[in-house]
Amino acid sequence: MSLPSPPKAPTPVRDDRLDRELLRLIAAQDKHALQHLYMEYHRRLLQFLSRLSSQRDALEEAINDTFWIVWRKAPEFRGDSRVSTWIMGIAWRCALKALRRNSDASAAALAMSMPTELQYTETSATEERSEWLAHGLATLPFEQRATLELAYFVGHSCEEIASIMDCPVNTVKARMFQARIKLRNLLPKLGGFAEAKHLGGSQL
Amino acid sequence: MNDTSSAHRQAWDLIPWIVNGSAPETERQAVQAHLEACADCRQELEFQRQLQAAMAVQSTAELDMRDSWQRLRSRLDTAAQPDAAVRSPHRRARGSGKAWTPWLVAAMVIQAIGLGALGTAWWSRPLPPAATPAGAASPYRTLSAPEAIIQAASIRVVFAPDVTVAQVQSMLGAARLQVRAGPSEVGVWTLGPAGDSNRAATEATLRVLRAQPAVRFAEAVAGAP
Repeated sequence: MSLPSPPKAPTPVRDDRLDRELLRLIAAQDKHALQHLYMEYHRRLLQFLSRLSSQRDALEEAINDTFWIVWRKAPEFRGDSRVSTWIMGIAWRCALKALRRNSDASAAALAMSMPTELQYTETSATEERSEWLAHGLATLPFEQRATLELAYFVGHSCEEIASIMDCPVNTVKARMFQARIKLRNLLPKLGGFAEAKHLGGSQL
Repeated sequence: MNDTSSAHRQAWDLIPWIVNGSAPETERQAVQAHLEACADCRQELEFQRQLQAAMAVQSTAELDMRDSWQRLRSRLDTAAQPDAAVRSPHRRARGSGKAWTPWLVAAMVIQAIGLGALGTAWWSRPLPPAATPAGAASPYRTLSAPEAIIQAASIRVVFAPDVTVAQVQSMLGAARLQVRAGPSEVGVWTLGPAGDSNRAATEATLRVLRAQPAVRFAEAVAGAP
């Protein structure tokens, strides 16, 4: 019995060599290179940041602030991490600033966008699962939500997430642990998500 | 905590990183060994896989990427120093430091005949001025844009004679390139971007290709300025 091949993260790992070349050009004030990097990262950043805030203006502000900093700080990139890790770290700090600036409004908007009680509607199983996932994630502190998003949507390692969120690796582990416990307790009750099942004979 | 419970906790903690594929092989093997005897961890692994699959559904948040970019571009232009002399370094770097063998030059001439028109169209796009009025930057082209067809051929490559198909596939996949034509009689492949691209991205791709031992030569199509 063996573990299957690791599943690919929904966002494929980017070729860091290409990103580094683009960053080198950006450091030389090449706006075409910045535009290309912006287009390549926009969807990923939007996905990540939209788990933290649902305010459209705040999302664009955070994304553009991120690339404003990329433009200005590109010459200072020392190559200690993947470029994607560096950019996500900037995005995280921009998101924190935006949340602090507008914490009440953002929290209220996020809460309003999530389902608050079990609703039986004509939706597909996938849509229903997504709704309950959104509900489950909304119950998590945003640091835990961001940790899950970086791990499962973007595919970052524990160490990379620690670098992005500027915290110790053990903090990432603790956040992941808490998030898993909470979601395990919450999701099956709410949406039939991942019903507890005996997997003793299943293929692993 | 005894050895069994310690191993269980260790494996349980590692499951997310097994699921997202970032755990090193040693940890993967350790978890695999533990899973053989632990139904709880097998169940948790399955739960986390389903969680990851559910998170793969993209959020419904939408922003018009091009509008957002134009606003950032305006912000950059507003803040830019009035230094029209700032130019992309790739113009200076073009063609420097390469030893050109006669057969390669001949191959390029042959390719240039066939690709000149496409190349001219592709490379004739002007660089945006260093300081343009707000909102006047050139639009970003996508595959759905009418001009996208001119991206059909942008790079010529000659691989080492002993390169394998797997190596070529790996290189092209990593650089997000697709084969447009080739190989020619002299072994020249013509490649194009698999997705959105622009001049800066092509220059970056060229540098990556040139760093590959299996690439003997990589250059943009003729007609580039």
